[in-house]
Amino acid sequence: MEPRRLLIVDDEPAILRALERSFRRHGFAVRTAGNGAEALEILESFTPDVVISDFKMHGMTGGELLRLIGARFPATRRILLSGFAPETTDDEVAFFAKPYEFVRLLEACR
Amino acid sequence: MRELHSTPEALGALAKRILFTAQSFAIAITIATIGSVWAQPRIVGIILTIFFLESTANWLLAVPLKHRLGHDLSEGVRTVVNTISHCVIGIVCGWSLVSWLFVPFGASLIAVPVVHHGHRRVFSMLTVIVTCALLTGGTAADALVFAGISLFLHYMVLAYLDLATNLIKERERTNLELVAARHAAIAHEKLAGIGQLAAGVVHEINNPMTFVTAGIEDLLEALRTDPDLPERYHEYRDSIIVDTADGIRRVNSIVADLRRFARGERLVESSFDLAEEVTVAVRIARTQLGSQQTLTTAIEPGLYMRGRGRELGQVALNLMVNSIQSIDTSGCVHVEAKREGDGLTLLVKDDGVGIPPEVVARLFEPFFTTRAPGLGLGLAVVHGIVAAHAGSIDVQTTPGQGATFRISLPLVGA
Repeated sequence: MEPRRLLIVDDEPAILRALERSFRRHGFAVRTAGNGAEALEILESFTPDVVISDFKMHGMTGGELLRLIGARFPATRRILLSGFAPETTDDEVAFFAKPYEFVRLLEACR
Repeated sequence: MRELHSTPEALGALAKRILFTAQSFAIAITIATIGSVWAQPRIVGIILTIFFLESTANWLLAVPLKHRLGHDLSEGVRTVVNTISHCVIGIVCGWSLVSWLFVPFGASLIAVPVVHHGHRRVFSMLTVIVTCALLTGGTAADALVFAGISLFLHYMVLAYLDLATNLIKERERTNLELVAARHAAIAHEKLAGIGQLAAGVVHEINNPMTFVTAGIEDLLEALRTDPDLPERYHEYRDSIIVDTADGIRRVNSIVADLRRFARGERLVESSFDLAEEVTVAVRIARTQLGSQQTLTTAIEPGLYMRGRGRELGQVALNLMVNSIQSIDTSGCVHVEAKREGDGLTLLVKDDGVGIPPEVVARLFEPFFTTRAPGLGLGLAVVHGIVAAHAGSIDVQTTPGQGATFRISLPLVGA
């Protein structure tokens, strides 16, 4: 079986490392990006099954990034992971509060 | 008896002004009476003596003796002294018209220093004077006319005092309302400020706590699943890292409460039944009840609204736990959820110790608590969640007689 492909976007490298470590251990193929622009660059060659994005980042916000991804890859599941959610996003975007409970986050990505 | 106790100062000032005017009139009437009997020095002497004695007695009874005898008794004695004086002056003047002038004047003043049984006193005084006048040569017509004028003046002064009292009370009430509204506005602004601060702090703490939490849980997992873990790390695996992870969970839970207070979670709204959420909360709250304490409910079924059901369940639970902590060992908490007007109402009522006013003002501030083991986040969370649902909270409380929290939630797009 193909491993599930996951893209994680967060401007905090330690969070990226923690998520990457956990998801790899559960058999995911993980790519990481430190901001929206980097994420879009990765998306040129990598079509993820799931995207997890922080909300507040330099440049584009996670909300904007997930909207773009939603338009380009309708089949991709989108998850917003934020310490604080200042505004609403699309209904289809799942929201997880930081600090996350990994078990629940894992469930949402499977 | 009129209720005048709440405004004693303002009424005291009013009574003083009336009494001052009265003194001037008394002197004028005395001069007129003396003028009418000027040819008879003996009668002038009697009138002056009576006037002197009466004034002195009135002053003594109104000021120094009042505290010793009490308000009612000193006023009673004053009425008796004045009645006797009227009779004596009437008799020595042969009940001339001028001598009658003292009677309505005295009757009108009975109401001024607000006494019990004022009417009874006026009637007794008039009865005595009229009887005395009829027995000692006064005419029935004069007696009738002056008794009538006396009653008229008495009731007019009463009506005037009544009006003044009501006006003063009304002004006091308006003042109180203004003060309360200003306090509410200040409290609201303060909460908004704390909310903003909390939102910033929460975001900054949550980012590092995310990888700290993940890291420590990974580490614990690694220690637990390593079959070759050296003996010297067993303590880390069994207690040090376990305690660390527990401490981190506690920090996270406090920060999560702060986020709820700061209305952080605006996402994921859905339609839900408030009655169901409250019922679940009641079930949990019952586990906190003492054996003699009771929790009664009146929950209307099918209270559908849009929002975050679990959060509003949390609101009900926090309020109930708060109430349970304030009642005594046989106290009662009552919970209601119902449709009211255009919205839903959640009501949590207890017969506990109540909340002092200075505490009410700070009730919803995070980390404000009056209970030693509490963190002071329960009601802050309630406030944040209710505000995020565009609802309002009203607290009614009398110290010693319990408190009622009323949450009103609008039905938006339910």
